[in-house]
Amino acid sequence: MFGPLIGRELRSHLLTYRFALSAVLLGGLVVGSSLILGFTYDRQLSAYGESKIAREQKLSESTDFRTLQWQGLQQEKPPNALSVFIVGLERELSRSVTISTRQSKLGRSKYSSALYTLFPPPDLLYIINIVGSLLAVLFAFNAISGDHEDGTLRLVMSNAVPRHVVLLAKWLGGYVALMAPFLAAILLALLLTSALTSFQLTGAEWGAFAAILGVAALYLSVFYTLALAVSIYTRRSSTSLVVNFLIWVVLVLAIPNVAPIVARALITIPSPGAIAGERAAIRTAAWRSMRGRDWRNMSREDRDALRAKTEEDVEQKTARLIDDYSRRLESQVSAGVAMARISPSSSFVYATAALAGAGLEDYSGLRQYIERYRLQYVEAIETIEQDRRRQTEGIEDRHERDEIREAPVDPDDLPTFAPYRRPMGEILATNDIDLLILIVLNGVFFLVAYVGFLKFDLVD
Amino acid sequence: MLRALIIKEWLTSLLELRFVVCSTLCVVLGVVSVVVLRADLEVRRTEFSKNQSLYRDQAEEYGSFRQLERQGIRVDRPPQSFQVLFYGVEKTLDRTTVISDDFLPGFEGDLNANPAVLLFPVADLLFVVAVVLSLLAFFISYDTVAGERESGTLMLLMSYSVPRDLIIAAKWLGGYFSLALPFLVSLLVGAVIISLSEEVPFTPSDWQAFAIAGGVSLLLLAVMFSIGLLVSVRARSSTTAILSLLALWVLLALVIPNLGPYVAELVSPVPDVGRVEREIALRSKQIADTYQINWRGIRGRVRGMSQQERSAFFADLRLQREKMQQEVNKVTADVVRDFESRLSRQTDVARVLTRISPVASFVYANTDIGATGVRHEERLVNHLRTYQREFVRFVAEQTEGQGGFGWDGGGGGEEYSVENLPTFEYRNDDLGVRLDARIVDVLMLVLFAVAFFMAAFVSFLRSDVN
Repeated sequence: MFGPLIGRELRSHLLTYRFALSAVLLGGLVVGSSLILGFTYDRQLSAYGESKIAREQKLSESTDFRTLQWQGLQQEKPPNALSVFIVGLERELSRSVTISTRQSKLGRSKYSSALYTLFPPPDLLYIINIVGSLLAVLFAFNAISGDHEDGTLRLVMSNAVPRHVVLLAKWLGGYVALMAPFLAAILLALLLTSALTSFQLTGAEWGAFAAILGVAALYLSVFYTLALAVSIYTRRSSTSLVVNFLIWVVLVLAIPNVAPIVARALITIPSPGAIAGERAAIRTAAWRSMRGRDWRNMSREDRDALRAKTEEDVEQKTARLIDDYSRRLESQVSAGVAMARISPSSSFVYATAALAGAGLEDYSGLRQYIERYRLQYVEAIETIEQDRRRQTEGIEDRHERDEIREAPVDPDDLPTFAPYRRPMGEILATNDIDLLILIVLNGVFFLVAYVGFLKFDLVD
Repeated sequence: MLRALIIKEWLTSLLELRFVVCSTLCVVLGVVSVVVLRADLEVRRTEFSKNQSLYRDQAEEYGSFRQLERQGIRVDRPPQSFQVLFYGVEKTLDRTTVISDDFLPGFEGDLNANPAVLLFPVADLLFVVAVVLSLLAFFISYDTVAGERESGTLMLLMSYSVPRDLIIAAKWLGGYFSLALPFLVSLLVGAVIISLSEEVPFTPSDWQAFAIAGGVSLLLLAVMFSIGLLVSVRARSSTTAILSLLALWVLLALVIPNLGPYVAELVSPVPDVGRVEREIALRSKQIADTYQINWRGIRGRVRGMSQQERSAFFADLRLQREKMQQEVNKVTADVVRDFESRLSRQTDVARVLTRISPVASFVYANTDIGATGVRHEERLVNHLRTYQREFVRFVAEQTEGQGGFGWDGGGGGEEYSVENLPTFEYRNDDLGVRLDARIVDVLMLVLFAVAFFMAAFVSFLRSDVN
């Protein structure tokens, strides 16, 4: 019984203008956007290669330790291949960072045009989040009410079919019709971007991509099931459309966009600029206190020890400042996230961005990584300098001494800058709440639809 | 006759659930966005003034002008009052810069910022109009003709001696009013909220900008409504109409504007920021090499000198460094200017490419009218550069005739105070200039509105009643 019902549902969808339109729209959007983002990725990849060569060249010239310590070295993470589909926070994460003894400084955005700030990136995430959910609503808003209006529902029910089977067949048939063009578009986009751009995924990234598709399927089904439920309770297609549309605007266009700003206004924290200023002030104060010392009458060891102690002091105070600030920042971020999670759209975006390695946790992760990396870098430079000083201790000839001291630094002697990609398990663990929300909403909406359909009055 | 028809249109839409839902949505979203962004602006403004004095205190701590010159003073992005309506480029996380003698200033990013805002568009009035209301416009207009044709009322109406042009004009006016009215209400409530809160200092010119921006928004709604009407006239059924319109909405409001910067990047590329920075570094190094100031072993070299010889030596060194810095600055400015002119060409390309979407024109027009758009960003950076020159001049005046570097024994003993250091002042350019720059976009909207209405009009005159 189930088979023919699904078949009927599917056929009735496939023949509609709605299906044709959504297939063309999705196909065009998904393929077009991923190709354009793919070409952008190409450009980023070549820029990344260029800056890597430049960095190595800089190191291969004679070394000036003061410059390496004070002005530092520019590092950047390799471009994220998944950004072709999910941009997330990649625009921010892709900035170069100058690592020095003082503090790490972010470079300008690689997305130079201010227009990038005006509009969100039109990536797959955006397409699914807004267009996909809208299509899901369109596919289901008249699923029951439409059939009821044109009388086919009564006809179907006059056969010996249990209601739950009818409902399940409706759900499944429509859902397959919704997902099929969508998956086909993604497949085509994958093929074309792999063929025409340097887009390539590693094993772990393939896993993440599959998980992203899974979350997208869950997300679309939330809206699909919700619209189905509304369609049962409203009884008339036109009412169903209006109610569904209202819910959709509030959930997709309003709540996620308002929540972070509300959180920022409710939980105020000092601005990053103020923190950077305080950080610089700690250093200034420490070195000013050193200036009054009587350096001339100190032995070299004492001087070095005092310098090291001051440096350590500065590091400790800075770490305290940053730790405290990070905690407050995290609480602001998580308040906004919690508020936004009223809408499944937010859960979807948080989870997918995290899976793509461009989510909120990746942002704070990069911040922590850069702090750690800076300490490693400073230590590595110091070790190299001390090593060379030791090597030259006995040498009288100045030229010979300089030659050893200023020899090029082997890039391998410096720690490699590689912000690690969080393993899938960890991502799923931090974003389990988002997945849970999507799953629970699916269940709840389906139950609501089920109960409504069982009680559905066919007569009026 | 026309009046009766308009009233009929107006009453029909008034009685529908759709109208109630749409107008509630419009008013609630508009008001919520203004209230939330007003609170945001309040936070920003307090932060700004607090930081301004904090940064001065920090600069005061340096103890010498040479230190001030090297370490510089921080400057925050001044909050724009119009961000309560159009958030625009204020969304950026790059909010602070350091003004010192040897960096070309520009607001810098900081990983200590809250990135949550970046994952979603900000729900400002700009978004409400460009995305939500343009969708509502389609939603209200899709069945104006197609629906009546289906239910047969159109045939009935035509059986009277009513000219077709009156019918379509009445449909447009009646439908448009039911869309514009809730928008005007939310605009009015927004204006009241703004005028009541001290935290949003709207000047008379801001109010003018507000009125113009409101007018431009109404224009966009007129364009969208006319498109909806055209599709409704031409579509065979109202279902076809709504589906086609939704697809159009996705393209016009969500995709074309957003693809603009990406496509422009491919069509009219600018060099990568990293490459620009490297070029500056390379050319600076070349200049430094020609000067060949040998900093190493300075202490050893001056050891035998008398006090006079020593200060002459340092003064000469300082002079050389200053000359070098000037040359470096000039080269840097050249490279950056070249980059920026290419960037602004790219922005223009993006604007031209995306203007096929009225929503894009609307966003360009209103963000610049409200001074939260691309023009504002460019102007702000130019102001920073002017301020940097003032800063350098200030330090030069204070340290005049001192020579030396601060750490060499020279230059000490001055009375250090940053009290007279000029503060960074930013003023928007005049509304007239802003409007002038975006007049093309406004004209595009007018053109679109007229063209689509004409198309709907002609189609309706020629259309079949059945």
